[in-house]
Amino acid sequence: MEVLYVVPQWFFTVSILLNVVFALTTLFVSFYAFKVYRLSAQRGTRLFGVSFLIVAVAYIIRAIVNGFIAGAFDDNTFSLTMNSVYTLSNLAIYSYMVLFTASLVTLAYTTFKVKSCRVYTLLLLIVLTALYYSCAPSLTFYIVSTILLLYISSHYLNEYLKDKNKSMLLMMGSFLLLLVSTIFFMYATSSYDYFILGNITEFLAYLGILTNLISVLKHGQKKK
Amino acid sequence: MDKKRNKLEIIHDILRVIRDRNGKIKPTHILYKSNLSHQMMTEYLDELMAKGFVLELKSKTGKTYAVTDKGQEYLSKFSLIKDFTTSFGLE
Repeated sequence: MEVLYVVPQWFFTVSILLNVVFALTTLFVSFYAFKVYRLSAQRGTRLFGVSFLIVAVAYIIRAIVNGFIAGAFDDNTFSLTMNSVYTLSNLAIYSYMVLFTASLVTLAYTTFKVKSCRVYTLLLLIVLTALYYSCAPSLTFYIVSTILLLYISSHYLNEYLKDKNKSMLLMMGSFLLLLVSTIFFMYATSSYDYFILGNITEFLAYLGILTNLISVLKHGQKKK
Repeated sequence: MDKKRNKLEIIHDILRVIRDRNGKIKPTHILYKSNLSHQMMTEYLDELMAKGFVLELKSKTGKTYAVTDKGQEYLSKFSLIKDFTTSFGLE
């Protein structure tokens, strides 16, 4: 069986709470993206909203199933067999990997500014097929995520170089942190330190994205 | 020299021009006020009508345009739209 990561018991509950925080943050971004889409009818904002909604669902699934597993270990009265725990855990991890990858593909496609359903489905099918047929799905997932995050970060770097907008710098930093967290998770099979570091950098990444959204909303309130 | 307008700003300018003339503006006036080529203006007007921001009214004197409620909402919430798309690199 492929080991995905080593998690210290004390950090398992923290990681579940962090997943809830990530889900709420991405839901918040998605909500405003759809609100802006409703007002402007611009395709880019809709795709952006869809991508954040998909990743929010991924985090929700991971939090719920991990919470279920944590409960099974803590509560003596809960009769969950080890096989069920493994099945649930696998279900959560595979759903998370598929949804997270689909979200990154959607976001990368948004940054390309190409209007072609064929391009989007091609990207998605290639990535999901690679995940499905891989002998080491988690390694494939981390490598694919790293490549996609690199493309997304480079988009924000280009946007920053165009007109030196600080928000672009913040977004680039956030996606680079997500990339670093992905690399940490890749090495989390050898030491739980990497798992903790991965969660911390992931938290900082979403903090950056949330700060960006809050500054947009605050700026809007000042104008009123 | 002014910075080149992006799509959202052009839409904003067209809607504002139409609203300022109380929905009785002719295409030639839109062309003049929005500083676009005829082809670009036609494309934008078609898009705005398809998205429900603008209404085309036909009379004996020719075509005129009016801003719908959705178009008004776009104008009133333009700063949120612009800030969000700029801050998240969606322009």
